[in-house]
Amino acid sequence: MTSESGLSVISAPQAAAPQLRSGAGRSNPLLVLIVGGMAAAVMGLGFVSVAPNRILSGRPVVLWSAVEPEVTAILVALIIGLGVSAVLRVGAWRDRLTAVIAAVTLVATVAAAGHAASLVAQASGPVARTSLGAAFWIVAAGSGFALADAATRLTRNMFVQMIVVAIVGGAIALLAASGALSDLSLARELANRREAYSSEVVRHLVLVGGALAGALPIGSLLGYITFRRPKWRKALFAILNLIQTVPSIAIFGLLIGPLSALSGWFPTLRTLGIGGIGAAPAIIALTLYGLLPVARGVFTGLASTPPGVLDAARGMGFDERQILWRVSIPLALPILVTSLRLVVVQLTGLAVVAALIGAGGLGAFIFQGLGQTATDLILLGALSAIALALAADLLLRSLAAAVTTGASA
Amino acid sequence: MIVLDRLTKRYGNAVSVDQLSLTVPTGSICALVGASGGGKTTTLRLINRLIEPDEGRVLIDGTDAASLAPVALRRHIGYVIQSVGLFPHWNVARNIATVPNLLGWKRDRIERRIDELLDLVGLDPASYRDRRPHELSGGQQQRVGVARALAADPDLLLMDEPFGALDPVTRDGLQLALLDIQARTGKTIVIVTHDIDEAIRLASLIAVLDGGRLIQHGSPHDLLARPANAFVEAFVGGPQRGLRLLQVTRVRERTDFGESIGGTPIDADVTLDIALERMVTTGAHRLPVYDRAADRYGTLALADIALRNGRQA
Repeated sequence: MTSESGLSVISAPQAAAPQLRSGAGRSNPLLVLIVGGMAAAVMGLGFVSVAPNRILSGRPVVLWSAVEPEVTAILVALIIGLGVSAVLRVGAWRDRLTAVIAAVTLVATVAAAGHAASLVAQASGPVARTSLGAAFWIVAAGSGFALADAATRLTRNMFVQMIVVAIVGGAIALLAASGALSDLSLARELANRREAYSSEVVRHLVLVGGALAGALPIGSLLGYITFRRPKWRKALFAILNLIQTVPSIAIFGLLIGPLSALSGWFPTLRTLGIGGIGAAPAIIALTLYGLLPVARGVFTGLASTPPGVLDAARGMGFDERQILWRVSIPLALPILVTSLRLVVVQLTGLAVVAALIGAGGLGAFIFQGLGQTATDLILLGALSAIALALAADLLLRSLAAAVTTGASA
Repeated sequence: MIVLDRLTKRYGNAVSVDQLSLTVPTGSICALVGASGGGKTTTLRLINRLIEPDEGRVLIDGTDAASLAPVALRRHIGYVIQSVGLFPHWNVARNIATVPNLLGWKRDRIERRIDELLDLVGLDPASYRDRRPHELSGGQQQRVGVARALAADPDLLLMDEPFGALDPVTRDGLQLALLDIQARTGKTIVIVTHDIDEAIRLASLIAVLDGGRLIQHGSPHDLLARPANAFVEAFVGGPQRGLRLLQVTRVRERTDFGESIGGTPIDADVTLDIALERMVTTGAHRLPVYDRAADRYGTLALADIALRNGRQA
C-alpha cells in the first residue's frame, strides 16, 4: 500500500504506545520531551503573528505580550500540569489526568489565540491581521498528541475514542460559534468566503465521491481478477503500480489533451461538462489513483481466507460463488473496510490538487492563497482538507472496529 | 459400497496415485495409511472429486462418481479435515447446518438436526449451539466438524487425518466417540491417517499405500500377522508388531475349550494384550476363560499366545 504515512494522525500514537509502555518504567519520557518542547516554544517563539493588513507579512508576538498575564499564567500552568502528569507513576489514573489536562490545554490554546486576535483588533482596528504563530502550533500539536496517546492507552474502544474527539472538537466549535475566534485571520478568510466555502466543500466531496464511484467497482473487479487468475496478477499489479507512481499533476496534465480532443469531436460531451479541464478529468485521475489500493485490498482480503476453511467449504459442496459470498467476503470484511478507509483518506488529500485544472474543491483556496501570498487562506483550505480526511478516517475506523468484532466475537 | 477402480492421478511427471483399486464394503471403516506423500490424501480427494482422476473410476453404490455433478456429489458425502475448517464467522449451530442449508431443508428440521448431532458428538446443545469456533477447544472444534459432516446424514464419511492435530487424550476420546457413532449409524468411513495405532483401533480394513500404489490391504490382524513386504512390516510396527497383534486378537482364538481350571475367568471376547497383562501381573501361566456366547469355559495358556509357526494365527 502506498501512502501509509499519509493515513492519519491518530495512528501515530497507537503505534508508539507499546514502545512507550515497555520503555517507560515510571514516567512517560516521550511526553516529558514533548512538554519540554512546548515550554521552549512558548518562551522562544511567537504565539501569534500580527500584521498591519492581509498582504503584509506579520511579526511574531510571544504569548505574554499577546495576552494578559492571567491568561498567560493559565496556559503556562496547564503546560506545567501536563509535565507533572508525565512524570507520575504509570497507571490508569495518570493517563486519565493526562487526557483531561491535554484536552483542556488544547481548547485553552485555541481560545487564547482567539483572545489575542480580539485584543489586536481592538488596539489596531479591523484591517490588522492576527495569524497563528509557531508556539501556538507546537502547543496545540503537543497537547493533541498527549491526548491521543493517553486516550489510546486508556481504551482500544473506537467509540470511546470518537467521543473524546467529539468533545474536544465540539468545545472548539462552540468557541468559534460564540465569536471568540472571529478576529483570527483564518476566521476572517472564512467569513469573507462563506458561500464559496460551503460550495467548495461540497465540490470536494463530489470529486472524492465520484472517484470512489469509479474506483470501488472497477478496483474490486480488478482485485477479484487478480485473485482468480494468478497469471494476470503480476501484470495487473504492475500496471496499477505504474499509475500510482505517475505524479498527480502529470496525470491531470496528460488527461487534458485527450479529453479536450474528445469534447471537440463530440460537442454533446461539452454540454455535459466533460472537457480537458474541470471535474471530469479530475474524477478520472482520482479514480485511476484509487484503483490500486482497492484492487490490492480486495485481493489481499480474498486471499486471506484460511486454506482449511476453503477446503472444508469445497468439500461440503459449496460452489465457487457460494464460497465467495458466504465465506471469503464475510471473512475479508475487516481488510476490505480498512482498504476503503485508505482509499477515502488518500483521495481526499489528492483531490486538493484537482483545483489546478479547474475542478474546484478545497484546493481552490490553497492555490488562491498561494497566488495572493495569503497564508491564512492556504491554511483554510489545507486545514479543511485535513479535517475532512480525519473525519472520514475516524468514521471508517469505527466501521472497521464494528465489523471486526462482528466477525470474531 | 465404494469401489476404486484403477485410479491414477499424475502431477506432471510425478505419479501421485498409481492404478489403485480398492473396495470398501458398506458400513465398514477403511483406513488409508502410509508415509506422507504416499497418495493417501489424493486418493481420499479423488472420491469426492476435489481432485479429478487421470484414469480409472470411483463407483459409489454402483454409480460412477464422474456421472454426478461434483457439488451435488459432495453435499452427499461427509468431509472432515485435520484443520477442521469451521467457518469462523458462524456459530456452532450455523456451521453444523451448512449442508442442510445448501440442500434447502426446512428451518425446524434443521434446528432439530443440530441438537441431535450435538448430542451425538457429546456436546450439550444448550451451551454449545451459539458459541463461535474460536471459543471452543481443538477437540470440541473437531467434534463440531464431525457433526457438520454428518448433518445431512450422508452414507459415506471421508476423514483426512481428523485427529492428527489433537493431544493424545483428546484424540483417544474422539476415536472412541467415532467408533460409537459408527456403531450407531452404520456409516461407511474412509479415514486417512499416518498413525498405525489409530488405524488398528478404528478400521476394519486397512489399506497401505506407498508411492501411490496399494501395497497391501486387509484387516488389522491380517496386516500385523502377515505383512506383505518389508515396507508394510516396518510401517505396522517393526519391533512393536507383536504387541499390536495382541491388541487385535481375541482370547477365544487361542483358548483351549476342552479344558477348564479354577479361578476368576477372563472374557473370551477381550483381546490378548489384556490377558497377557493379567498373566504378567499375577504370575499365572494359564488363565480360566469364559465364553459368554456359548456359555462354556476354557483355558488360555501363555505358550499359546505366540503366533503359531511364527506366522499363522
